[in-house]
Amino acid sequence: MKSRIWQLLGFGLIGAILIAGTIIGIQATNTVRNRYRTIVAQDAQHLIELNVMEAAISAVLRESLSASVIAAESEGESGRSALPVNEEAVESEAGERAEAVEAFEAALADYRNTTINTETSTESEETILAIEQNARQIISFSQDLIELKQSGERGAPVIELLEAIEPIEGEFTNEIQTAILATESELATSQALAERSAAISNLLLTSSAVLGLLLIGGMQVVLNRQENRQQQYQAALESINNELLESNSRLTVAEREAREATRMKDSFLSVMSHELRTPLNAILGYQGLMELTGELDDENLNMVQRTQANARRLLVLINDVLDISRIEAGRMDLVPSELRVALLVEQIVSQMEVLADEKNLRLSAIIDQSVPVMVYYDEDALSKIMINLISNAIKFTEKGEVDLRLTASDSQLKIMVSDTGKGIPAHLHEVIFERFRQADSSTTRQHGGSGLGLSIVQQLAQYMGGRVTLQSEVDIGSIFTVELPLQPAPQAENLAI
Amino acid sequence: MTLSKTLLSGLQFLVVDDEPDNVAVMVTLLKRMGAVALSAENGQKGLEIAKSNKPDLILCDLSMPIMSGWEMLYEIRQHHDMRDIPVIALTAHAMAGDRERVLQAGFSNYIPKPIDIPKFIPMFLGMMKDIPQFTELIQQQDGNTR
Repeated sequence: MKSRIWQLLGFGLIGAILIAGTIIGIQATNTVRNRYRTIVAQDAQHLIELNVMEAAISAVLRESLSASVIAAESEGESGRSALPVNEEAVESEAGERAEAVEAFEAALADYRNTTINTETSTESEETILAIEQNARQIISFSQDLIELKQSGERGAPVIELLEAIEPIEGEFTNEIQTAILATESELATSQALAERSAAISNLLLTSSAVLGLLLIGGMQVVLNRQENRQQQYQAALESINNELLESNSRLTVAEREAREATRMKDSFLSVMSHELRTPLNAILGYQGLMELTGELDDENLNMVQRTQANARRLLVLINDVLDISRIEAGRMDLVPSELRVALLVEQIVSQMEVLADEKNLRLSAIIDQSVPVMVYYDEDALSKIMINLISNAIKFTEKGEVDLRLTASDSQLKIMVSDTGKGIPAHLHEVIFERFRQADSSTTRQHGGSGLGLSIVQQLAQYMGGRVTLQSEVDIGSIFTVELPLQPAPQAENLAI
Repeated sequence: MTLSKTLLSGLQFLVVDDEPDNVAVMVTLLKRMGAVALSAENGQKGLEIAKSNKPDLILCDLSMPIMSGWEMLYEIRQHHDMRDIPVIALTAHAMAGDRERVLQAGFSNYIPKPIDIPKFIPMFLGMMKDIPQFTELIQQQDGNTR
């Protein structure tokens, strides 16, 4: 795009220089041509005037001589003629002669006028001076001749005058012929030069026109190329746009499908949950009623209780599977609320104490002073983390104690559950967070549970922006630590402990 | 765990559920606590019995054919002589948000299935204690049992 602009600018610049050059050239040749035109016109004018002068002088001579020659001839050498003078004819000749003289004077004045306005060589000035002098002498002699004729003089004086005129006339004729020839040749030269300058001027005009056309053509090519490029870009943009529109619609379809799939999954989970709970309600209900009768012998009571325990385990499994499906699908909506930590912990401990009591384990809970009185978390999620960790600890501890400890730093809430169980070997630390995995798979039946508890804890912790870590030593015990971003309750209640 | 056979004597309950086993468990349990227990297999029948018998409390499933628990509750709340009867939802809808939806709709309380009888009895009695017309009775019975 940039190079295109530079190309156009280059063309423009070159064009401007060339056009300026040709304009100057055309103007110069025009000046030359005009000058030659003037010279040609002037030369032609001179030529006419010279011819007029020659004709006028020859007319002067003719008119003055005709009568005189006759007079000279009739008298012979003797002098006065006996013949009468034809006065009418003489007067007429005098009039004609005077007109011819006037014509000469006018032509000479015109010649002088044009030469004054233009540069004339001294040579031609001298020539014209010589012509004038000779012409005036002729005019003067012709005057004398006319006067002689009018006075009736014949013979010798006329012959003398005629003899005097003859060389002057020859000189005049020579000079004026030379001048006419020179002017003719000058005219020819000027005409040739004028033609040439006109030709040059025409050539310049033509070439500048051609140049202009070439420039316009060049710019047109550049512009065309640019337009082509633009059209290509346009086409490329359009195809990209179409592709985007297409992929957009594909995305919309995919999004709709994904949403539909999620909705179906949600709906499936919801239906599954409902359908699994319904028969379980009958099983647990009838078992509970049987137990309540108090009329079962020990063996039967034991069987009823074992059935109940398995039904409860099934319920835990259903709940855990549903939980993990919801977390995985991103459908676990965390709804934070203000929670009183002490109350929540008390509820959880009292709920878990039953399990601990069954195994004669001591369950204790400590809330460090660093923990805000009121926190702001999703109650269900926070409870599930603690319940799953505690029930996991109880499950794998045969004697001793399980401790829940809560501490807080500026940015973190730490939930630690430690036990005095058999511990987890280092190489299994990762594995135990996987679903349906327990450190020792042969103990699954013995320990019960869905095998999903720790996986749920890990997923929940991550979902809430935190993590879970494990420290453990075989035969000494384990400490599970969940670190969550600290979310104190926004209210001022924390101040009043 | 032993159960006082007179704990709920004098009270009439209506159990509405389309699953016969669920009805049987609940009716048996209530009768063992001394109550009169009526039952219906869907909302419509439940509504008819409620109209004619004016039970003291209704335990009601949600998803049922012909008329759901939601619709039945709506109808009951429309009748001036039934609108004060407490209706507790007893449902297998136990997903997140279900409790909130149930309470929002106007049910007196929410019990998710499956019920585990040793846990259910104290929870149920606790709920009854929160309902004004039973508060005194339950406290009295509590006193008697101890």
